[in-house]
Amino acid sequence: MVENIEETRKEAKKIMDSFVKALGKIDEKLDIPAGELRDELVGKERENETFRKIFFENAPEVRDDSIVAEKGKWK
Amino acid sequence: MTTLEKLKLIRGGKLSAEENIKSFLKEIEKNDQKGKKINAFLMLNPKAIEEAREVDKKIKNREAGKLAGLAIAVKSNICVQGLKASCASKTLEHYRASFNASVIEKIKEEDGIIIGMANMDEFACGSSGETSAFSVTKNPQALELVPGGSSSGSVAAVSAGFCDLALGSDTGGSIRNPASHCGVVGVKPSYGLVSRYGLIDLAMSLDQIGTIAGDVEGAKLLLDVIKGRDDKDAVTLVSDNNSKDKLKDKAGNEKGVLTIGIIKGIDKYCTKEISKLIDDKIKKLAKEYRLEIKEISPKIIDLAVQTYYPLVYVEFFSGTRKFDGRRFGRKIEDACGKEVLRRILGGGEISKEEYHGTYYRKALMAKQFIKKELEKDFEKVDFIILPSVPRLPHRLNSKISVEEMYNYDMFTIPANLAGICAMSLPCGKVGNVPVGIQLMCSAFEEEKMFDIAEKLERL
Repeated sequence: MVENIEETRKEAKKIMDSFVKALGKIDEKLDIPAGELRDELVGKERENETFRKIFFENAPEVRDDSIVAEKGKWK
Repeated sequence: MTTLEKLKLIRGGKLSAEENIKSFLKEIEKNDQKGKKINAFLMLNPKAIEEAREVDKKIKNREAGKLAGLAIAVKSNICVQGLKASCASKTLEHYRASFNASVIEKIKEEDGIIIGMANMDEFACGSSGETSAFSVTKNPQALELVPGGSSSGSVAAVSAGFCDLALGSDTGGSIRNPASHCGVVGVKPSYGLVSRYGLIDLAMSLDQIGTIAGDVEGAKLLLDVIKGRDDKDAVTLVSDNNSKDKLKDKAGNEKGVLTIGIIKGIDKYCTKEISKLIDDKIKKLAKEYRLEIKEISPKIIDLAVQTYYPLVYVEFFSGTRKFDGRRFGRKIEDACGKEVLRRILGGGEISKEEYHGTYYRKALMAKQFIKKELEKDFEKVDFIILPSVPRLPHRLNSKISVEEMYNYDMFTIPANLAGICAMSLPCGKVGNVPVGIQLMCSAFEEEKMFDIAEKLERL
């Protein structure tokens, strides 16, 4: 784990600032075409038993047929 | 032995798929973690020999596919069901892919054998192979130097003789850069030619899965298998652009004079030795095949790095929000290395509402500008040749600045920004260090690119 997060953030911002400065002369009137949307295909893998088995093995916390996403500390 | 010669031996029963896999496993055992300690693999496929035996049965029954028995290394950000797709990060250290990426399905259908998961820069964030959480990969051609990145393990595996072919991903040069440093062929296909389904993304508007081989025909063979429309990735396109026609007339004869585009003043951007090697090769190619040479503007290089990184930072920040430690792995910010964190924090910062229109949008405009410049160039020339990388790889564990690291990719980034195809192939050596030459063609002109690459390879 990186220790000095704030320093890393500042360093990243500094790099981005220098890069965007270099892009300053780009003509802002250029048309940007809208991108194509991507189908998410939610649930396509549900029928695949191996997928389900490994998917649950990867999850840090599982209860019955569900992955525990929140630990409910607010209760 | 070339890839096709090897394939012929296997299909002809003179070399079994099992023998092929076993000989690679022996070499890996000898030099990956021991001996030369290349460290190209993060995990080997425990079923590789078993799968090879199945392929041998198919060969006997004359049912074997196009990749029959060839050993293929896979970058650890591409999902192979049951094998670890750790992205060389502690974040996903124990994550096993629960499904096959579309490219893996296609390889298996054609009887290629996945030999193992290759090392890489963490989450593909790097140009040297040094950001892997599981130690750096060595350059098999010069053990004291970095292999380049981010597909460091995939490329090193081919270069070290650990496999026949490999898959990598290329967002700004991550296949071509290490291919150049390690003396092999690396292909970045046109955006939309190959499905990204099952690729753990770095920047989804730029990522492409590509191929690596010891020769042009090997890289082409694997690309022919993995390319094509996939309903699971909506950006994959069906192209009717038969670029072969651009090199030959209707009777199949070579077309008139082709024009090579070269970047004006390229020697100002790279070392003299690299510039000379590339220049000599271009002159030789032009003389041998009677090609014209035309200079094009260096505009595509001037803004490449500065355009690319704001896009990558923001898209990577967005793409990594799923690594919150709930569904799989650890929370990325708690487990990742410095370069990954830099991109996440930087991406989060510049995509804030208060900076609307300042960074990402400006970079999108610059991307469009570079794309249009390249389109104009391709109206004047048939293909572009330039170095793959501006400098030789640095020594392992030596310190270089972030900006220096980013500049490694200045020649490869334009192809990703424009969505065109490009590849690197060996051009010669400076001392004992390989140098790659890069070919760029218009989008979906892979056939033409391979034709020229084969000519270059024969010189």
